[in-house]
Amino acid sequence: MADQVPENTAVKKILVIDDSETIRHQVRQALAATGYEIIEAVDGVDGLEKLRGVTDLDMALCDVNMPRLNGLDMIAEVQRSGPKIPILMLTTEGQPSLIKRARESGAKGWIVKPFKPELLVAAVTKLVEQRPAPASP
Amino acid sequence: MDTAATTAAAELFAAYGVAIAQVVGPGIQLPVPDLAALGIARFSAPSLLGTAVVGASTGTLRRSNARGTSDLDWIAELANQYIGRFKLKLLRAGFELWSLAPGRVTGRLLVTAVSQPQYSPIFFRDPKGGSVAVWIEMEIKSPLKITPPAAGEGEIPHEGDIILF
Repeated sequence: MADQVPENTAVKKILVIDDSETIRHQVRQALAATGYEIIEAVDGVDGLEKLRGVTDLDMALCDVNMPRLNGLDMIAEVQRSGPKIPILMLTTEGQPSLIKRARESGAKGWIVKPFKPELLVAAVTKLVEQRPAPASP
Repeated sequence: MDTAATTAAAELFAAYGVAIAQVVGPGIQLPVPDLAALGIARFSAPSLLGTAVVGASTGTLRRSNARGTSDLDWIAELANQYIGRFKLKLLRAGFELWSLAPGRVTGRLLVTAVSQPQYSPIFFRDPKGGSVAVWIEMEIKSPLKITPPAAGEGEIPHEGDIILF
């Protein structure tokens, strides 16, 4: 797994949006070796606020079934008005219709829980490292 | 549907390192006083409303969650993952369910369930004496429609799968 740890990633920021503290903890633990900074949001509303308020996020992981605002409605809102960062859905859901909806709303991938830590690291690293550098002002 | 409900629970706990085995017949011990927490997931389909309740004893819960987060948080997530597995199994058989964010209550609120011994849960024991119980209740208003997924709708993923678009 060490060869998956990218260089110069200490400042990369990942937002983890999930109403389960345990899942946020699992994700934080899985990504610990990457050096990414993890920011947490506890539901879709909190996630949307952080997506819009934290200006230098590099990526987000997002649950689907959450109180207040579900993940699919949240990413649709982000697509209308939000940062253009990769979003990876992390959920127990697996209906093709939901996966299609996420893709059409701009999500970059879909993981069915429970996740394998090494595969999560590989997917997150790929999306973060492939992201084009933000345009200079 | 019974097979899906039973297998989903065994697979779920196995994924978190706890082997549970179903207990049937007289081996079921009711009431189940040692259930520490209950996770609740509601689900629906056309003509159907349902609720799945997953209960686990403290020892089983903590053996399946080494991270030390709260039992209530974890049982809600287990209920969420349980209904996810149940739904995926039914989806592969052509029946689609929809669910909402899970809820949770402490085991002391189980009194309603244990006071009705004729309504038996799907009951499991782990090798260390812990227990897991699953209740599924459904209201079906008209005959259910089984529709195999149409070609072109995309494959149904398995737990742990990662799909990058």
